Amino acid sequence: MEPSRHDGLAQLHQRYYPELVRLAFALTGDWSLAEELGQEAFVRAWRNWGSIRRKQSAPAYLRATVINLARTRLRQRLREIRAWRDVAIPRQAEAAASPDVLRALARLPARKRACVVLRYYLDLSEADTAAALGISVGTVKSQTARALQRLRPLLEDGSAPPLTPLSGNEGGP
Amino acid sequence: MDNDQQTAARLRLALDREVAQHQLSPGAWPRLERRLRRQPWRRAAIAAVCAVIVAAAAAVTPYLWHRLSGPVASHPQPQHGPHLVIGARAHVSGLSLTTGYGAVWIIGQGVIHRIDPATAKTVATIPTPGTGGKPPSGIATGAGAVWATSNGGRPGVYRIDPRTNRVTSFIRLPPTPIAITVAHGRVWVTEAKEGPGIVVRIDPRTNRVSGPPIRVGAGPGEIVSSAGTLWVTNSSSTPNVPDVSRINPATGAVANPHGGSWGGTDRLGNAKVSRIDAAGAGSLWTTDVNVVQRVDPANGHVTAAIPVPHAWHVIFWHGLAWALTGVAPSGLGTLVGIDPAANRVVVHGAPFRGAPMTITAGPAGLWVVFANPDHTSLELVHLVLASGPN
Repeated sequence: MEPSRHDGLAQLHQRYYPELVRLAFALTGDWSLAEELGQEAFVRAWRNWGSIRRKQSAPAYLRATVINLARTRLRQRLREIRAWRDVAIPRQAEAAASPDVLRALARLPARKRACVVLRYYLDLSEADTAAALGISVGTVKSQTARALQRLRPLLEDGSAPPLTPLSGNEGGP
Repeated sequence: MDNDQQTAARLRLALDREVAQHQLSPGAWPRLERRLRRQPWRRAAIAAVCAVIVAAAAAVTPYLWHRLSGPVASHPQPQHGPHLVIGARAHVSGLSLTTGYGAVWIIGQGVIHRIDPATAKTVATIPTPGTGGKPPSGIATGAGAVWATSNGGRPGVYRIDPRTNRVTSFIRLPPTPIAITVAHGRVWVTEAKEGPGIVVRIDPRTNRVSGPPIRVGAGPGEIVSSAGTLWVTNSSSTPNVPDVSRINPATGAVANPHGGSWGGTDRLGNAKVSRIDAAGAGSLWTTDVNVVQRVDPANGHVTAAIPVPHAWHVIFWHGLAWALTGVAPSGLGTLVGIDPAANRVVVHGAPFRGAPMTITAGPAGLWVVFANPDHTSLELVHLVLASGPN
């Protein structure tokens, strides 16, 4: 018997919410924002339950939603930082940029950043990563390999600029 | 290991360290549920459904009056084989409960009620001053006393003498005592705090904390004693997923404190055994999605997964594992009994309908607090196991 929408979402939340928050944190460097994005992904899944259930692709949908939400929110944050640059120091942006590994990730272009987090932090297969990003498996391979090449010196270097917004068309809802 | 693998491993390690510095905020799912309930179209749908219900109620008032006159309505179907029958029942105002010293003890607002098991009526109300308006959070019996944790205005543990129904001692503890149990000559209290949680031991002979705090995972909650071990469920352990800590009660040592999740993890890093509810028949018992799980206490491996739709909590009583079920969002559910010899459900359902909230076992039966179908009142129900047709 297929679970109701509420039960189905509850099961997904129990299973995937921690993973989605970790994904959002790796992409944004802000734990509070990551929790907010994790919740928002489930709200959107609730609204689009029919299409998710038919496709049996809820995990990919949720990850794609988090990636797109992270991109949008970081763009908003960058605009706010630019607007207030001469008025005040944006505390949250500072905090988000502080850890070295997050700085190193922040220097990657959007798609490479998402590829490397999904593949090597969430341990997703190349196929699952491709599904979450709406790109081909070949692109996942090439983007991941290039991301690792770029990360290697950055992880050793430790210097990096503040987080930049994700950009590009990663796919997803 | 080539360069890419080294970089990936380094990235993973570094991100794990970053994530480990944070904890998921508790209550994520209830918050999400509240948010979903606020969806505009949902409000409109609820209003429409309410209108239909009101119209239907007006048409069938006598029938509804008969069925819903109490929080727990009778189940009309006859049952064969072992089944539960309703004994005493009474309205209550609290949820956390335990049994011992010939009584049921249930936590209320700033008080603890002593319930007569024969009638389910309150025979004594014991004030627990200093809880800051919050009810005590956990309750247990043993070592000649009733023990209740308070994490309100004055955090600590109340000791109540069951002969006089009075608080005889208060043991001050760190700010957030959660669950409590009495085992191996000690009172054990889980304490949630920032970072790793702790378990505190109290010597009931002196009413003092005994030994240093025992460090467990993050967000420790329920604590179960079995097979010479204490099993603590950590609700938000690194990397922010639940897991289980095992404590040797003789030494206070935590088994394998840094060795990862007991019973292993799945490919996403989630612990395969995230909670322990009960012990019995040589196994530990817990639930996962739509199953009751038996866990081998030796290695944490799941040895059986018994299908029970919407199961969410298990206790062990009278040689059977009893699973509470509930279907969100109403929570309406039931109670089923599982025979550990056959790993199958042998007691189907219960002779009532409602939302089971909490459960404990006594010598003569199970005590369950039910919410009525619209969650406006609570009823404590004594359920007795019977055999043959009812």
